[in-house]
Amino acid sequence: MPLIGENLGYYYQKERWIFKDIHLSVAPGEVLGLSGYSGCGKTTLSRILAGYIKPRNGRVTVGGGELKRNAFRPVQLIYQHPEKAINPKWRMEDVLTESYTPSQDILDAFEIRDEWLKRWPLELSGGQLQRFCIVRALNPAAKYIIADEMTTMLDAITQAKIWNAFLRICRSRNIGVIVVSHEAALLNRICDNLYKVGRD
Amino acid sequence: MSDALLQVEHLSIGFSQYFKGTKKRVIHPISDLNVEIREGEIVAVVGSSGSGKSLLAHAVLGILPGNAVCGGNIAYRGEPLTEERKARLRGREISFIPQSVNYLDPLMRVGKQVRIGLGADAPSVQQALFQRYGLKASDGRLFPYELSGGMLRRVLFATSVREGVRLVIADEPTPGIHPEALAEILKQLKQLASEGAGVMLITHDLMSALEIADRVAVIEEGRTVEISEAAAFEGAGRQLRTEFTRRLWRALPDNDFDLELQGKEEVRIAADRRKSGLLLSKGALDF
Ligand SMILES: Nc1ncnc2c1ncn2[C@@H]1O[C@H](COP(=O)(O)OP(=O)(O)OP(=O)(O)O)[C@@H](O)[C@H]1O
Ligand SMILES: Nc1ncnc2c1ncn2[C@@H]1O[C@H](COP(=O)(O)OP(=O)(O)OP(=O)(O)O)[C@@H](O)[C@H]1O
Ligand SMILES: [Mg+2]
Ligand SMILES: [Mg+2]
Repeated sequence: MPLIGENLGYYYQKERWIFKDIHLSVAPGEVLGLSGYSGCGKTTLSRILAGYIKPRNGRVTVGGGELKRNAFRPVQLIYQHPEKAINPKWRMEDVLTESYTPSQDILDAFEIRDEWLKRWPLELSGGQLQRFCIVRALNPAAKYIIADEMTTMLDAITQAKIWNAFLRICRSRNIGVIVVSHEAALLNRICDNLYKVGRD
Repeated sequence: MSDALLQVEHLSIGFSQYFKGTKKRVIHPISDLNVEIREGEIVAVVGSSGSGKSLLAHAVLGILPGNAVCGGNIAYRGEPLTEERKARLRGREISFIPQSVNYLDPLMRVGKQVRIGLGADAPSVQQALFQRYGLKASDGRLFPYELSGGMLRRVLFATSVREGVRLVIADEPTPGIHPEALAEILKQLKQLASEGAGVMLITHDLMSALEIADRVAVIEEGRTVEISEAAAFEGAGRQLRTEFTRRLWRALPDNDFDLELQGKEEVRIAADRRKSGLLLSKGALDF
């Protein structure tokens, strides 16, 4: 049951299209890379594919059915800025267990330490916060995950560890992945296919 | 050093936390940070996630949370940097580019945020800054939530470019921006340094940092483990002093791809990485 975006178009201000006529599809277990210049609409497209906003044109389907609002999202989105994706008034344990209770194996894979769970979001580093967002997206019911600039502010060693753990889990569960990144080296390394948004 | 602009010596940072209601404990994520930045010098600060880079920046700026307890010494232009002095200098002589995009005021148009503190010709300076970093004039009328991730970074950077800045503390100023804007930001930092300012460039992007940095400080778990000349980052990294720094250097995509082609097994990973699943075995991405 592939994730398919057909004929997608979007604008924020009437008739000022950010993009039009986007067709893309991702199969279970596939890794698709999305690239394009800053401001071309990658995050907007990601939010459409995850069902957070409705496209002005076209439609998004998973296994033939349209995404339902107010239901569990089979397409999970890991947001570009973790500090904006986490409720600052929740302790990390509540952030983590909001949608499911992750196994110790998963916490270990992302090197999430017990002592962090009692902390507030502001008491963690940027990269530590992002790891919580990744684990949160790895809900057992997730069919697709969109990683929007998931590791752009991390050093190369941490980046490698995180991608290693993340892709291993996605492959084992046959989750389809969309990787949004401006780093060509990373995309070439981990993606099966690439899609370029916008003009050159 | 007489021309040291900023000297951080044996900085330690602890946080007191309450648990089970009333019991108090102190955790010490930062135990021994040492950095010196001279006038006109760019020092890159690198290290893995959670090693203490942002806390170092926050300590110098005086914006640590209230439950933080600091030890060690911080001097600026030869005199101790007290909390009052930090508050006086922050945003004036000492400018800050934060890692978190939440530092922008969510209710103020971004053009206005860049114009703050620019003086009489603020509108024209703001226009020029926007143009330099590839932002449209009309973007100035947008609120932060209406900007893309890379546009936010560029706006954050533009807010830090001010007359009279002597020390720039940039915490991850460049993630997620395109090469042209990245080049402009590096050029701007270099320019500030050539005018005599000191720059602390905290970044994961070692390759870009090396283009402009004089020295590199490496932080591991709250300690400065190495401070080396930028020139030491070359070849296999033999001039680097610690194994950690060598790993950080070799893990860069540009280097890693060379490494991959050396051993036999590595070649197999490179060739088959998409289909074989080898990528996913432990160590394959672990350079
Ligand atoms: N909520 C919004 N209201 C109005 N305009 C918006 C909004 N969100 C984004 N935009 C505009 O839409 C365009 C595309 O933004 P988007 O965040 O999708 O880009 P992006 O490709 O993810 O860029 P980056 O690589 O910098 O993150 C930008 O011009 C941005 O200013
Ligand atoms: N307010 C706080 N209370 C307790 N611990 C904290 C607090 N703020 C940060 N820490 C801890 O201090 C350590 C250093 O954090 P810091 O934000 O400086 O890391 P960093 O090097 O900037 O990492 P990143 O590259 O992920 O941004 C981390 O382990 C973090 O969990
Ligand atoms: Mg984006
Ligand atoms: Mg940080």
